[in-house]
Amino acid sequence: MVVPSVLAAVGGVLVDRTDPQRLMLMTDVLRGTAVLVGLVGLTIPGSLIPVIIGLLSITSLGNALFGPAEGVLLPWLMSPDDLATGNGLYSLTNQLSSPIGSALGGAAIAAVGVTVVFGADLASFWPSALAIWLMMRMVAARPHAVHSPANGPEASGLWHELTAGWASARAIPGLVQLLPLVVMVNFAFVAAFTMFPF
Amino acid sequence: MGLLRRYPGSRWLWIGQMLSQLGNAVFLIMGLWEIQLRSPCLLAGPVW
Repeated sequence: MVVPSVLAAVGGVLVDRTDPQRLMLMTDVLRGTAVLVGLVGLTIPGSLIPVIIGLLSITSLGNALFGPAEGVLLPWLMSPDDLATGNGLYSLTNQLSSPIGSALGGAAIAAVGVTVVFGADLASFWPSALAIWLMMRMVAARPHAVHSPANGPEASGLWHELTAGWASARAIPGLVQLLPLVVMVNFAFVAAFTMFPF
Repeated sequence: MGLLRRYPGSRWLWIGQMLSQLGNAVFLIMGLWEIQLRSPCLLAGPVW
């Protein structure tokens, strides 16, 4: 579980250094394939927890890259005048997906069981990959190169970009001061999850 | 929603985003549920 969390910190840098469209497609295909393999793996007795842990890692990994890539793609898909509205719509969808998906997942487990949830995941990741592929066909060309070999990440380096990103975050008033609080809240929630069954 | 009509590429990206994140949320809640019931000690680390 640590690997996706670490990757989330460098996800933006990785997206800048690769093609975000292909990255999104590959993360969906990876997650869809992993769920399919996991579904087959469930036929092995006692494999449920290892399969779930493996799949949670892979889906988190995909999420760490999918989000930043989406942020890069939005300006390619609409005019600058509509970008603020677009960001709002995508942010709202992002916020709503979590409670709706959790409610659907909880109801599905209670009503029909784990196998159906795996099936529902297959029915989300593969159509998502199809939608991204259709989107790729409509992006005629990259409006401007984010990084060219002359002045891009190849010239500055991954570490330089990471430190530059951290410097930008530190420049936001209050953000660094809030980070310890966010970490503590995260620990508290994890502890609550652990204690629920008791 | 007029935005999604005006920019078809944006429409497909939005659908992809929604499906992908719904899938993530569904799987996360299922995974947490099963781990809580069967091996709660495994939750001693962040999972999102």
